[in-house]
Amino acid sequence: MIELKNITKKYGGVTVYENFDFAIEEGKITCILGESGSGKTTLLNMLAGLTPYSGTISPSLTCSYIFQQPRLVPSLTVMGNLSLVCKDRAAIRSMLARVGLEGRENSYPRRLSGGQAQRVAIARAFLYPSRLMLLDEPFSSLDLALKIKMAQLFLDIRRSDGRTAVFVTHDVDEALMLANDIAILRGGRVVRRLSPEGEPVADLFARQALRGELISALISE
Amino acid sequence: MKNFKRATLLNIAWAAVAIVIIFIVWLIAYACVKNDYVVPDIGSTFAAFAELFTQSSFYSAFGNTFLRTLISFAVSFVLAAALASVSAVCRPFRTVFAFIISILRTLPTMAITLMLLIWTNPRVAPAIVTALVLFPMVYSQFVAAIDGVDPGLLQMAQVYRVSPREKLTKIILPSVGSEVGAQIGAGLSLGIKIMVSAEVLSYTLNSLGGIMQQARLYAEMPRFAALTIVCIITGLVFELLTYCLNMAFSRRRGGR
Repeated sequence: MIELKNITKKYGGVTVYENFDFAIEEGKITCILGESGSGKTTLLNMLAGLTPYSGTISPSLTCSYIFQQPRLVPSLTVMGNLSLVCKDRAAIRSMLARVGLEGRENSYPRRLSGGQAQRVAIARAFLYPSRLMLLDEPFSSLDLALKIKMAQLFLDIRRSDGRTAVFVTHDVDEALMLANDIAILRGGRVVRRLSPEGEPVADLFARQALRGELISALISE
Repeated sequence: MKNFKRATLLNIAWAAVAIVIIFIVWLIAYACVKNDYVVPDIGSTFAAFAELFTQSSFYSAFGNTFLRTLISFAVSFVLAAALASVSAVCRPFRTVFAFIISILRTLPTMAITLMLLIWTNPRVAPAIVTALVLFPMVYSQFVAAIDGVDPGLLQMAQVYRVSPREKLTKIILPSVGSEVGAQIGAGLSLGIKIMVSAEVLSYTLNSLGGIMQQARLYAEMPRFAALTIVCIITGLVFELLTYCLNMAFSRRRGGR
């Protein structure tokens, strides 16, 4: 269990979290669902050690991070980008094959489509030997078909990998497709926590019974 | 690619139009003034221009000015890169240095040249003046380029614990390099202009500025105009070369 205890985070005079407690079950995909500006990305940045905070997060784990944008170095090829986090070229090639980018190792990021670039970001996250994977609305900029395809890809690789993942989104569909555990965040507090049955699956029509419950919890005062 | 070729051809066409306009203005000015000592005619200017390339003294003068410009630019470039790097990591230094840069920007070139002539000699003074004028510009370009490094990439490097060496060589330097690289041509072009001005003022022997000064003293207006054209062409070649190099790098990385 990864535990966040007594977390307080302020930006200038604005308090995002005050005495915030949260627990993340290891080996599962936890989804933080909340509207824009609810502090979702801040939570991930605290877990990644990218932003200072008061309180404790224990244990402190090495992280992989799939950002909203792929954040690939434009002057490096796909291989160059992945070599930043993993020196094993055979492992990189094998991971590229898994994400459907076989033979694209010498391509520069500008030559990749949005979906392909995000696949490289997913490959990078899985190649890095972390214990915790953080995902910040990584599929939000993709169209629906591609979003489902990417969610499937992520779930397939993650299933064999078994890494703990924390995923933030404002998209109910993404939460339903990807999570073992869903926490609804509002005003720096978790207002509802749900654990859908079964393993997550990249199917928009699965877990539909929970959809209404999630939406009403999101919009209720 | 087809669009790119079309755009390049269009740019060349517009450049040709600009040159034609310049010649028309020149012809009108010549017709109005009717004095070869004030505005030389195009024919004799181009005859003098062609003649320059038959004189070994011209090559030697051009080579000296060219080399001095390169050295001045290299000195200001290395110094600017080093000090901008310090500025990037040390806020107080950056703040203090911003005032020094403002002072350097306002330095009167002529006054500094004359002062340096007292301290040094006519070969060294133009080189120092050129470096002093170029330095604030190149420094500002470096600072802006360092500030412009994508914070998202730096954050990514932090999360994935990319080594400081790789962070510098694979993320920061390529980003800064492409930004600053695009400005090198403009810097060298400005450098040659300042160098020639300082050489004219310093009476530097065996230099473009020196032979321009001679041409002025002997009222050889076509030769003077021809030397001016040499300076213009040199500046344009610097800018064109940098542009082509940047395009080549950009295309290699899938930019076009």
